[in-house]
Amino acid sequence: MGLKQISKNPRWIIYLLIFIALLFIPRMLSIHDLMLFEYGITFAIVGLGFNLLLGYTGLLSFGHGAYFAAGAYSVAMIAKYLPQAYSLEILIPASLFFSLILSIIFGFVCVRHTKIFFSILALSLSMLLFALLFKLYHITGGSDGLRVPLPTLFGMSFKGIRRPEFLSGTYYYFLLGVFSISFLVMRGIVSSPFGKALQAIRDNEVRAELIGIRVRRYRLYAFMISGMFVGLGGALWTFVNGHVTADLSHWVFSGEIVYMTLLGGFGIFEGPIIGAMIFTYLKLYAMGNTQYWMFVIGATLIVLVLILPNGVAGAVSSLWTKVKKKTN
Amino acid sequence: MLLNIENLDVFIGSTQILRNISLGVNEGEIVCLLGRNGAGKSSIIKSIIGLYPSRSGKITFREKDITPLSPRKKVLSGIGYSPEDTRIFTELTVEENINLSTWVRGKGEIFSYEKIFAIFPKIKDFLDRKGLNLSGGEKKMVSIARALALNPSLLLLDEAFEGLAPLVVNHFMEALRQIRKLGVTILLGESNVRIVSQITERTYIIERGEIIFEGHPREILENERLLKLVGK
Repeated sequence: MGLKQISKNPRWIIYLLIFIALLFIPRMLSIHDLMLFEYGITFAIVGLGFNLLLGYTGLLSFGHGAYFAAGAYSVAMIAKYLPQAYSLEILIPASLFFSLILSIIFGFVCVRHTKIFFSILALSLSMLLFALLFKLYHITGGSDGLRVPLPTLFGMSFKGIRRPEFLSGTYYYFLLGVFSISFLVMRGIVSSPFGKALQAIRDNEVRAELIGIRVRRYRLYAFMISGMFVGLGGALWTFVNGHVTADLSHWVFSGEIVYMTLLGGFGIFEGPIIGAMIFTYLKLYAMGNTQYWMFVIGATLIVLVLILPNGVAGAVSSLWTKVKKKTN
Repeated sequence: MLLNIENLDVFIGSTQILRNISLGVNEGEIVCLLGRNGAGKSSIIKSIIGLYPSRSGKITFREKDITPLSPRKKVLSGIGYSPEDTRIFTELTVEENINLSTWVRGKGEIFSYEKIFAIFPKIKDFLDRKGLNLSGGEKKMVSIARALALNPSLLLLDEAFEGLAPLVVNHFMEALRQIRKLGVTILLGESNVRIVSQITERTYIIERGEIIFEGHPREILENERLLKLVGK
């Protein structure tokens, strides 16, 4: 799609307007709300990656917490063992690299299967990583996890600055920049012939093979890209959270990634982003208001599946289509 | 001979679905596999493309043994396949459906859009429509166009005329003649002897997984026993 076409497409105009509005968010929100919003952005990157596998390739993974943990622990381990390299411009590529390596290894095993077997394999492998992170106390901090200090950025040090100040200044714009690039890259991937091939595999893998597509290899590529995006989200999340624990690789956390994608709607590109944002606020407010917050989350999921099977974005999209049809 | 099958036996589980199948297709021909529903036409086509593995026998394409090859390798070696149920990718547009084949083909020679439009001029009108929103006839056109996009020298068509209106059937027959003129050999699975007699010179009758006749379709039309056998 050329620049001219992009400028004429209302979707891209909306994206641009949202991006401009996001630039002013730190001025509009309190530090507490901004931190929540930043959690949401990191999960939005996770959702983008996860949806390449679920929405575009048709593979449901219950183990994507592993790649999130890979990204998060890359940051925390470098902080502990290689403090001289503890700079954002090194940490981001490093987290991408380690989550890629892990997703190649796990993906190689998982993509040989589909449906429930794929899901269970992904879950089992992530639990394997969880066990390692949990048991190797001297390296990973075990159940205590690892603390994540503030990084440097292109030689700029944030020593003496408190985390909330860091998060409401430079880091927010860094996060927004990375999110925007991730968004554009993923948009490019799903619109490319490779993305179309993934959709063909999702629709009918036998037919996809019969037009020459290497089904298993493309699934692995999708798995790798998905793992990298989730790892990137994990790395960015650590600076907001300040602490990583083995729970990130637990299947419960992987379930949250599935949940937020379903909440937003995996049939629409923007769905997981919306889902990630809603989930972040929903979980916090449910936790803040009742000790039965898991009941609230579970009940929402049931309502969602029964009433909004295409998620929030899917419901808005079909409503918009109906309104457009009526006005025409 | 472009395609040659010798003594092919195919089983699904413990049930034998094809018995001792031997047939040949010469370059530039339109050859038909004729038979009633369930006779074994689709099974032969699926065995050639590799969806049903053979237990014994040999399939050669351009003098090369392709029996053990995967469906993907067979397709890339020059065999196009348009299945009975078309299986268009419903979430992709018609253009994306066709382009996907050419993209996968990569550096290899591709079947140009001009040729596709020459065969199916109507495709131009719905290039940007999603597969989901196509009629049965349109889906069949796209399915054949997508198979052609890989530039095959042999095209396997399974029940290409099934469910089409008589006028559309005539268009499709003309399209097949044009495809042949462009140098593509066609092996067609069909159950209607009247259609077969108008476009093919050589026909095999399949009954219960066996070939029981080979000859000109005219011979079938003149033979009451054979006509009864193919159900028309």
